[in-house]
Amino acid sequence: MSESGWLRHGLRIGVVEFRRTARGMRRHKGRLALLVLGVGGWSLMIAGLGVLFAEPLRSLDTPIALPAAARGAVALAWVFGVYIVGQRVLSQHSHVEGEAGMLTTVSARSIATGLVIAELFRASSYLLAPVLVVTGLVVSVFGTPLGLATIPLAAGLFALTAAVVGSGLGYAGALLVARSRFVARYKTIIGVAIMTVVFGGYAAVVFLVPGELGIGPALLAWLPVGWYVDLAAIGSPLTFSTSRVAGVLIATLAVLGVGGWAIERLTTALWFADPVEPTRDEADADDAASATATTTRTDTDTATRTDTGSTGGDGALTAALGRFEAMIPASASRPTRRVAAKALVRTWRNPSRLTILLTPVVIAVVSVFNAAQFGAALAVAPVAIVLLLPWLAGATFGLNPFGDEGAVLPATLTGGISGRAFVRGLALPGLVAGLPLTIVLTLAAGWFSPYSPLAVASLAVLGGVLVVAAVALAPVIGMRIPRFSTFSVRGSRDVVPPSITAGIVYTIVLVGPGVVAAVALVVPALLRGVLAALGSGLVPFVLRWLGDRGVPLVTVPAGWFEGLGPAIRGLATIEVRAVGYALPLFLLLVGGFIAYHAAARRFGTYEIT
Amino acid sequence: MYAIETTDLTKRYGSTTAVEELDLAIPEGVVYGFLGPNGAGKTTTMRMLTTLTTPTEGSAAIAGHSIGSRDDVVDHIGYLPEEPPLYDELTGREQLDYIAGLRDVPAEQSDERIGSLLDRFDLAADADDRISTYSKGMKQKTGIIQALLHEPDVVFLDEPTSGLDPRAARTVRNTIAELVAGDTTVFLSTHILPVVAELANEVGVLYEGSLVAEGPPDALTERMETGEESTLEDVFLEVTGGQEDAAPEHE
Repeated sequence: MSESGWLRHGLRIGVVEFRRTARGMRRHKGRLALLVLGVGGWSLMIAGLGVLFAEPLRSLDTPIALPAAARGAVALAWVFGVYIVGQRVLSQHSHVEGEAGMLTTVSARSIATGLVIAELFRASSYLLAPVLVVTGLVVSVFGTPLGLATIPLAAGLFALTAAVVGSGLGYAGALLVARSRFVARYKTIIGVAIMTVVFGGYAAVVFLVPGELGIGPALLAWLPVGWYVDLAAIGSPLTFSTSRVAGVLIATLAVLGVGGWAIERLTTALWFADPVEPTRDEADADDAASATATTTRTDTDTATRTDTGSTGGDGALTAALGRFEAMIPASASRPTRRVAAKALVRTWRNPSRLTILLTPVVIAVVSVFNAAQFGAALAVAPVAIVLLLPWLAGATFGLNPFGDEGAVLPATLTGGISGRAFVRGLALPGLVAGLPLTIVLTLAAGWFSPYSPLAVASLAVLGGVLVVAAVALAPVIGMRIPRFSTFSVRGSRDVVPPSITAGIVYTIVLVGPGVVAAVALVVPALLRGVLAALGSGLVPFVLRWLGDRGVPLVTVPAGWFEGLGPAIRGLATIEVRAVGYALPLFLLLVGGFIAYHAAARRFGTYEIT
Repeated sequence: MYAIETTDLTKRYGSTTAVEELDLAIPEGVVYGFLGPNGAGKTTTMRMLTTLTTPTEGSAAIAGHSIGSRDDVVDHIGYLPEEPPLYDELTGREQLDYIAGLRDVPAEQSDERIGSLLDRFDLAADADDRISTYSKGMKQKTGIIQALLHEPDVVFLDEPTSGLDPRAARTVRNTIAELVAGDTTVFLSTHILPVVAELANEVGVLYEGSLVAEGPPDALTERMETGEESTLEDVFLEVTGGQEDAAPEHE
């Protein structure tokens, strides 16, 4: 049952939730800067392209036929938006802050409405500027004032329906995790599978050469959500379909009606559900369900319990790893194995900790697919693997060791474990998983690449060295630049990601030498050209500029550098390859060794203030 | 040899002095009740004594080991901070196994101790559930077990009975009494004065970073010259300047 005024209450909840998100963003200046840069850059790019092509667009013969690919592209973007919202709702926003208080104050419908509205506001913060730019461009280029109403309306309904459907799917997923022991236990694998299917399908439609395998954006033009482009085109020189405009408006009403109904039922079931306990055996299912009548139990529950638990204490943590136990070598010391097991178990059970790692994965995948458009995917893929997998091997477990410990940090620091054992424990999972995976996948991708067997083998060696360096570099950087604040603003299961500064420093010191070595191997001419340009162009320019402004002793070195360019250009390819490859490898190994000892020292002397 | 000995122990944060010239000499096998209002410097003192924070001046030793060397001290101490140091993602048993592993307690011993302590604290039936589902009291009990696993010489407990139901609180008090009987020293910081009155052999009251009163509970209460039967609460309020606010009936 819902109270009268549920929509008003929902709006208020949505505004407050969004305000909390905005305030959270203001506290994290780095994330805010990235958002502003991303949205601003995107908007400026659209504006720039619009200004650049304004005249050619005006001179087109009108009316302009709206291609099926345009409708398909809009539908594809909508599907992508649904996935993003669904993933966010499932991992971060499936419960309202202060749930008990909220559920005893207003109806579940009000809260669900509020959460959907908040999600819509969050999406709007990304879409508003580009939509305004596109509206302004269309109106000014084609002189169609009706676009002032139709384009924002179409964009708003597009975002609203995506938010409703995405939220519905997110709540359905959260309910499955809460109700099904199987889903709760294997949610990481299921999540990765869904992500692979979605991104794989998206990439296939967007990036494959049109006509190849018969796949392309036009394939989705039949979906009514793609017809928002017809709604936006009203009054413009584009030929829109009246029946499609009617169709998309009806579809919108249907989505809002059915979606709203479903969300209310899903959230009611979710918020009042008895969650399953995924660590219990199936045989204990009934016990566990009754024991966890609420998510967090009361002390009275404990006092009346009888002892039915197992008594085996040794290795409980390692046993929790199941078949992944093999990832931890028995030759490691017991404290080291415990740290490694703890890192794996926590990551497995709370995979939202990996959210932050999606960014480089997306960048790498997009790079490969972008290269595919130029027929260079097979050449780029092994290099992307060599750089990405070691980055992940280090960052997954080691880039915020103190922040990851959270409230346990005092116990860990006074736990008797040595700094070396702790750092080895952090490095072990990344090393054991990352090393074979990087080498095997690099060799596999290299097999299909245009590179010689020697170059492929050298890339694999580079990947191995990068993994070793990554698992040693990440902990010391994370310990020097720790982050203790949480990623989202709600709940006790918040993620404490590495600091953005730590991520940037780690990327520069790891990927920088990696890129130099990889480029030296596969395109030595590019490395030679860049070094020569830097040597004889940029560096002397900066030095002379400083000299002109009175900085002493910089003009003479500028002359030396000017002579360096021709010398670099004169180097033989084999020399560029040998030095450009070997030097970064040497630096990575030495740097990794120093970083390992520095991290151990840092652990031993770290103070809580 | 004292279990805890400090000389002029001082901690400053910029111009703010959190703890000033603290002198303690706590013998082995006693419960030392460490009292003080919020912000008095109790947590800072405990952090210094557990090597988590370096003093600005002064020195201290735990079981004869200088707090300047964390490696030397950590084997001799157990510490339960105000917020129990637990991972939400692990089960209670996994958490305890993890800490036992860090301390390299031999497998057989840790198995036996974990089982025995889980039984004592009535947690055995819940040991295989995730800590995220635990109540505040269950988390507190798991944190206490964790601090005692390696049988330390000195145990630092920050509000150990906070959030516990009467049965669990009684278990903690009994455990503290047993620890002391076995020559373990317990440094007990709490606001629950009856617990200190019941258990403590010595009491120290910290106020604005300085030790303003110290002695056995009986001696402290006798020092009060109110003309009425006094309690530890009266002493606390008197030395921390809050008598008139909290006890209007004495006006």
